[in-house]
Amino acid sequence: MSNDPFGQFSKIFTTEFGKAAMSAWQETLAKSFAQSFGETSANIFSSDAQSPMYIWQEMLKKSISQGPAQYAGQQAAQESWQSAWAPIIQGMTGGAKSASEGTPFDFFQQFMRQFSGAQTADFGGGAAYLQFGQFIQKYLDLLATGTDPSKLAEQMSSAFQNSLGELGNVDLMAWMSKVAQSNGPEEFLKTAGEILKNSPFAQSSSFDFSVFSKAGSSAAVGPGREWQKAMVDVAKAHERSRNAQVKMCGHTNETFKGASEKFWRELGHGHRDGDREGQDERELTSLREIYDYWVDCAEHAYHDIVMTDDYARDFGEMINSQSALKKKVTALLNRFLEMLNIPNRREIDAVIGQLSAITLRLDTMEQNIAFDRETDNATMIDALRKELARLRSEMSVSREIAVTPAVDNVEELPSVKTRQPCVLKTEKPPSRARSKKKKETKATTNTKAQAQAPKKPKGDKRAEFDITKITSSS
Amino acid sequence: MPKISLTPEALQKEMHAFSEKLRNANKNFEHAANLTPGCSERERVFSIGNVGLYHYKPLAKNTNTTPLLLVYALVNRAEMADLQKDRSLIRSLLEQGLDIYLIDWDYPTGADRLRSLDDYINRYIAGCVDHLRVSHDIDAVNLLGICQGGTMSCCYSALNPDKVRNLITTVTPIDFHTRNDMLSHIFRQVDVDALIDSDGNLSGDLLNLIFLSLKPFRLAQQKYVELINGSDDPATVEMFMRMEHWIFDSPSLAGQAFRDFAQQFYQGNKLISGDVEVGGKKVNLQDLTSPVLNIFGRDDHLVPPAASKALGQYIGSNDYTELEFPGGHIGIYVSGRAHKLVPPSIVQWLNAR
Repeated sequence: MSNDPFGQFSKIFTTEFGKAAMSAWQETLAKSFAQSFGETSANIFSSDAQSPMYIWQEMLKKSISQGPAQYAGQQAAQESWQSAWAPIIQGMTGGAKSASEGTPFDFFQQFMRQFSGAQTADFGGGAAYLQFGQFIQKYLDLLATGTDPSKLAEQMSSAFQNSLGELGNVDLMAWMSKVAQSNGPEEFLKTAGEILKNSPFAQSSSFDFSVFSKAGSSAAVGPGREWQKAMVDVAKAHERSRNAQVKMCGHTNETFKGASEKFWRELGHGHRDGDREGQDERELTSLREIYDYWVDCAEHAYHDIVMTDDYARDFGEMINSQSALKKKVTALLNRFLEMLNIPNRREIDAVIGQLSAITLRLDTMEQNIAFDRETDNATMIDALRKELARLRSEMSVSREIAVTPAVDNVEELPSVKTRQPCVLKTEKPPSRARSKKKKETKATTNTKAQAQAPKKPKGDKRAEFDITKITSSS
Repeated sequence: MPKISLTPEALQKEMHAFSEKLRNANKNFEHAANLTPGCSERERVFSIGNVGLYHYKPLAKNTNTTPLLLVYALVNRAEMADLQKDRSLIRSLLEQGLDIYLIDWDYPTGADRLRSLDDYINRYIAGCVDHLRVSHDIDAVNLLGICQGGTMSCCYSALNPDKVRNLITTVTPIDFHTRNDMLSHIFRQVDVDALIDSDGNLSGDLLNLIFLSLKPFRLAQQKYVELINGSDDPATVEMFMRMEHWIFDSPSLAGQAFRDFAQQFYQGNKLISGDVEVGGKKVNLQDLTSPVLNIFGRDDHLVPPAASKALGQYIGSNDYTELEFPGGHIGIYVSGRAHKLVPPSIVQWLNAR
């Protein structure tokens, strides 16, 4: 199973068509900016050594490759970054002298005015939309050309790898590949340490990430033994929970991969889906329709993954590991709270159990009184006495639970999980007088029902319901 | 294979229109900021603890002397059956002369974690039914169960066949192990005991996430795109916001009741085998002998049609009717089409019995 989100990302965005599309997008955006904000704004995207984009890339490279040393030159880099923006801002804002005069808010406003279609002559939203439409058309033309996806995937992976290599020789692809094959977060962290050996984090490379998992392997001794054990339990449960989440991330990645492949195939590239072939002759005439089609493909792919045994197992493990973690944390907290003389979950549960039992008894008594007004008083009093005795007995049990010292596990509370069924659940038959009257009512209603009910052959358990008939009659 | 036919001009127009709607969305949503679901007048007439029995004010001359008691699921709130005037199952039934009652489960708190399925069926539903039997001086009531409320109504009806005159089930799961039942599938390997022992109650937020995770692309993304598309129509926005309020106003599930339901129904699928135990008694669907109208959604992703239709195979009633509605789990109550079809079907079926 692939657990490589960046691999998926690279497949989509570093193909030949992706490069061409991005190039077209940059070109369109630059033109659009030039038209709306003035010619100088197009410089943002130029490869000129003074353009903000170029400087940003350089800063990124330095920050990764030079490690702590790059901080020395940071101030200078920031200054060159600001000065690169200055002429552009000046052009866009019609006279601002420096970066500080063109606030981010101004840029945001101008950007939104353009893309919200405001009919301001200076900003020409309509033209921008036309350009955007042309860009989409170019993108779709590329899609329609139909190139071999596997070849493209290979090309883009290599292109992506090369571009990453330029960023300070950080072999992220190798790292992601290791993480995908690893069994959990420990490997993830270790490999992260290896990858970032040339980074500002290099100072902490001696830290052993396996300390958590190793902690539980030796026996705890001494006066703090129980505390230590409780804490190690939490650490282990935490590790289990994170492992489970890593596996669920794998399913998410699989979903996106499956969805993308399905979307790609069904739009006419590569092999078609057998189950849909020739069945869908829709014409997609808007972005919204294409988006809806993507959602259909994605939900279909997701459903297929969810219904596998692997998914059910991993979903179960995710929930179960979180339950286990919460349980261990609760047990640890119970210790702390008791030490501080603050009521803990166990004690509150005991009170709830007691309160709940009392409430149930009271409800039952009230119901009995409400529905059995004609019951003989002596019988009722006798029943109430017995009930009170039972209540007292239960309250003493609850008290025992409440005063028991907290141990290391909240699961040792069977008596508050379940409750005894109520004794007074003696639903008496209706009184004779009411019974008689009810019998008459029942007879009448049955006759009426029989008269109104459609005749059906005896034993016929099913009947068709005619919606059309109901609609027309209503 | 779909064909893409786009033109720059059409895209320009589409993007322009969408951006306009996006730009005006805040303004268009203002009037819907504080809308809540629920539109019909009602009065609390009976209480058992914090659970209440509500009576809805009649809107037409009574056409059926037997009151209809609505039993809603323990998930989300019952306002979905009374969303707004033009999309209310309850209101439609009132307008057609039915006498409507509803059990409001309230919001279970940590103190209700021990509330069990036995409590819900033998204490609350039973208490409300008995109240109606006494106050209306009748032997039996009509029950309408919604989703999980339908399953509980089936259990109650099987345990008390003499107290239920007619039973209507809507989008009700009966067979929990049918093909394509995503919810049941993902819950098979969950340790329910561990979950409830650690959480007490099952939180409404977790439930929401689980429901959203069944259709993440549609429920977490597409429906909001649709909202923007319809944002210039105040009625569309208002209904959306009421639905949104309903969906995310999620009470927690009482821990013990969830444990009972998840283990016996979702994991054990014991209802159809007659092995469900409530309050020490086995529930045998063969004992359900009242006339039954079973309504289900053809496109229901939470309770697949097969899960509902199983009811017909296992009950003892000779009077069983199915109504397949062309819609989903929620659409059956709030869609315009449902509003025209479902309430009249119920009234016609009830009045014929």
